[in-house]
Amino acid sequence: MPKTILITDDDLLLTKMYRLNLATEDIHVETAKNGQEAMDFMDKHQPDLLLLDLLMPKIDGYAVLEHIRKKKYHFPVIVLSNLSQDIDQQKCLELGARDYFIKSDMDMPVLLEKVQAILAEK
Amino acid sequence: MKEFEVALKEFGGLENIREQMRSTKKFEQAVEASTDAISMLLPTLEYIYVNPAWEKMTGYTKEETLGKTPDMLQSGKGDLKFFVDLHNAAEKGKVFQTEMKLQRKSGKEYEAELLMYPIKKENEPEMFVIFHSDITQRKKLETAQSEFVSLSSHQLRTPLTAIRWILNTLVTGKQGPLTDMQLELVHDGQKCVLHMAETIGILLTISRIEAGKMRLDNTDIGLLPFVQEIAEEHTVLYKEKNQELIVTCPTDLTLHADQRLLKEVVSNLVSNAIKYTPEKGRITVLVERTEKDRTRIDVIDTGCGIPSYQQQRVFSKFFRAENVFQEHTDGTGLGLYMAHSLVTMMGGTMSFTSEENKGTVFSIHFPAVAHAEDNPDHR
Repeated sequence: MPKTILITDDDLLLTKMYRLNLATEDIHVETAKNGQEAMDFMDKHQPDLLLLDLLMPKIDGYAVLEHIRKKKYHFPVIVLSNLSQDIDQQKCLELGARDYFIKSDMDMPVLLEKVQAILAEK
Repeated sequence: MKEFEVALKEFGGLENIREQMRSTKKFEQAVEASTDAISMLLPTLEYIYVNPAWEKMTGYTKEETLGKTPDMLQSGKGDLKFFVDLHNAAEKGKVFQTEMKLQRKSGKEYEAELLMYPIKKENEPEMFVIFHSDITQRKKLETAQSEFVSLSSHQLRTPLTAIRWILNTLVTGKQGPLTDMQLELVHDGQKCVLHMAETIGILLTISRIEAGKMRLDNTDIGLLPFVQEIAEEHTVLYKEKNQELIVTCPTDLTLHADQRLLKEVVSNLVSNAIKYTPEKGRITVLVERTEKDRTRIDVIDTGCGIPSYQQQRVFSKFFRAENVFQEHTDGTGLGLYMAHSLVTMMGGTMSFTSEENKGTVFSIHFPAVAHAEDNPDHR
């Protein structure tokens, strides 16, 4: 049974790269292009893992993290953002994110390994 | 007349009285002419004096002010706690310093910095003096700088991420196999991306240090795994130049410091060493506990060295050594400046010895306990 990961990013080129690299036989990839779409998706169908961008139009990543906390969802969240101030990272971890990575420092094979490791936990 | 002269003598002489009056007048003139807003208050915090600069800053005249308390400057959106703190400090006769949003007579708000200190008589505050400045412009600049750092980090990194991930995707071969030459070109592209990511990282780190926005997050770092990890991350680079990289570190050594920042420093020294050491050279990372529990991390290379006439400028911004500039034009001259600034901020020191065409040793020294940890100025 493949696991579902939800990718939330307003940059469609990056979303394409996520899909090309992370979609495997065992991983089913869903995408949302802003916070609203992500919240609508998870309210119907909780993913096994959420990859979340922070800066998105209208509903941003912080608001999505708050939504997850309010709804008491338990799936893990990895924040991938290009905001590099300590305060952004700290805020996300306080809001319950499991990891915080700077996108431009991340390689896809490394991310795939991390995703697989988290999905294998359950 | 005789009695008067005796009284005068006891009082210190007529000249002394004249002198005192002259100096009181001088102080009064200085306070009146000051461009800083100065006010004097009773222990109950009622104004008994405000200077012209104060009137200009707040928009209230002296007549409107005397007898009132600083609560008159309270802004609608301001924090009431400030006024409570101010009154508490006055009751205790303490020095009080703060930054606060206040409101002018016109209703316009401004950011103020206040310093209040007591003038005591027999240990009881007799009066308070408040120096008061408008720091609205400074606050705006600080905010602008911080926003610029945040924005540029995002704007530079977004396209870089896309390029990095496109190259990642091509390398997997899932989109079709690459010829050897295509693969080589993709690898070249990846190296450029790494170089650019590193440069952006250095620029942002420097601008954050200079804006005073850097925070230390100190933990106990196991130094052996720490330096081993750095060595491993540089494997491709030194193998490519047929160099060897040796790590020497006692197994149980720990250092209380900010791991992420220390890693930036040591990584920078190691990648410099690799870059400026010729093929088949040797790089050594040597970690030792020295006298009085001090810790020293050396990065030793057998590289081109730094010309002696340039050595005093090594840690300055944009420094590039003449001998390496001939061969490597792509450095920014910011790496060592950043490393040196970070080490200083962490409470350590950095030094080096170098001989041209023989090699260089960069040393980082940390005291037993990094003392910068509790210093709020470094936040």
